[in-house]
Amino acid sequence: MTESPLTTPVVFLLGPVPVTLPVVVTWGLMAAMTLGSALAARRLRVERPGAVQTVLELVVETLRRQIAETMQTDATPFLPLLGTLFLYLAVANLSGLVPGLKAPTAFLETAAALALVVVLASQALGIRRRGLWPYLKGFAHPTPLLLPLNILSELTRAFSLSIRLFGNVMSGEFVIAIVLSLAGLFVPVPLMALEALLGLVQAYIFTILAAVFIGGAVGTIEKG
Amino acid sequence: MHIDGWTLLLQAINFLILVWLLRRFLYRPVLAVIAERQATTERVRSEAEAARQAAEATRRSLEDQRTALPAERDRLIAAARAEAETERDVLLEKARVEADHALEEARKRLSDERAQALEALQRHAVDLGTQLATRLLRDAPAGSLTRSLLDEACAAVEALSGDQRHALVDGIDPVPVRLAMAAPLRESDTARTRERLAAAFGRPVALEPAEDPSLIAGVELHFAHSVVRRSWKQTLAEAREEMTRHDSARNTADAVA
Repeated sequence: MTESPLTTPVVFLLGPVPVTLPVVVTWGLMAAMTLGSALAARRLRVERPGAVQTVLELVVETLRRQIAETMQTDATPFLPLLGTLFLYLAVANLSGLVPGLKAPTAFLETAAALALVVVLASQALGIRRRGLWPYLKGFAHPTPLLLPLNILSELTRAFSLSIRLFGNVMSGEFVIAIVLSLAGLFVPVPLMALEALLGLVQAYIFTILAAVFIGGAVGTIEKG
Repeated sequence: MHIDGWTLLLQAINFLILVWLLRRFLYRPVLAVIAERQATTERVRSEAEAARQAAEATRRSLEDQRTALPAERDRLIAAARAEAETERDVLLEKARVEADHALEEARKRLSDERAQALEALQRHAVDLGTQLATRLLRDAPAGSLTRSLLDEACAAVEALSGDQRHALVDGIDPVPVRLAMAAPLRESDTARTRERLAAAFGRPVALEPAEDPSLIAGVELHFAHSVVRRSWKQTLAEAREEMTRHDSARNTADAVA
């Protein structure tokens, strides 16, 4: 591994648009997740569900319950966004363990894009739920003197989200690559297991923080 | 460090597309199945709850019925007792009326029997008195008394009106008259009697004397259709009849009282 982990390799050019590696991997993950979901949800039954359906329902219900507990409200309207965020992050983080693949979240652009989506979604949902003026007035709470700090807080949230995710995933993969280059085939296995755990933890943290931000924006919980 | 704007934009778009895809192919069908199962479960639970409530209502109803059984039993017993009391009162009243009636009848019968016994006793006493008087009078001399009573008998015939006298006899001549007497009379007395009767009837009289000691004293003139009695036997009989009638009236008055 000679290239810098901070660079984003271009796979091909689509006209003037450079299609980079994380985009291509994400497309593959999207296709796999969509196809898997479509196949798994093809024959859903109300009575006596199969093992695959049971796992699907368990995952979806767990995500909904976790989001509801975090946001203190009905999680169904937020489930597609936040549930997809967790599933994509988990799959993307774990994809780095597949030989020959590099996790899309190990690139700052992917983490930043997800953080940007979360921040924009929280603003949009907050305005839609509370109205434009009451939502904007929330930035001057508890005193107008804190207006700049509150706005700065919104921006730093996106920054912290993206940097935390990018840093953890990228560093893990980087360490595994270094150990692999120094010690051989089986030595990095414990580190890979740790990286898998870290990937799931990071997905959970990112999703929960997104739920907290959106919950604060729509007013179901106290703004953090 | 360099951030590729195209990559950032494409990844954001990719994520939003993935959100739409998973919503379409994962969340919507899975949530629909879960909702349908929850609805089914809720329906089954509601039916079970309804069945439980029905069972509870049935149990409560049975419990109420079981609780009401002693009260119903007491009510029936009380009603039966009241009915028995009423029936007993009716029977007692009926028995009392019957007893009063029987008592009244017994009293009446007793009173009647007593009156009859008393009457029999009185009759017996009268008979005894009559027999005693008869015995005493039989021992007395009856000749003069018989003549005196014969005069009374003749006087009685003479006192009758003509029609009454004709009613005593048939148109046979001489008029047959049987003269019953307690003691034998003298021939002169018999002849005088024949003459007085012939005078009274205006026709000759065939007098047939006969002695009848049962008359005690006195005579009896037996005509064809009637008898004129003037004897102590007749007097005692009338006295006994009068005493008996008098005692019977008094006993009846006592019984009514």
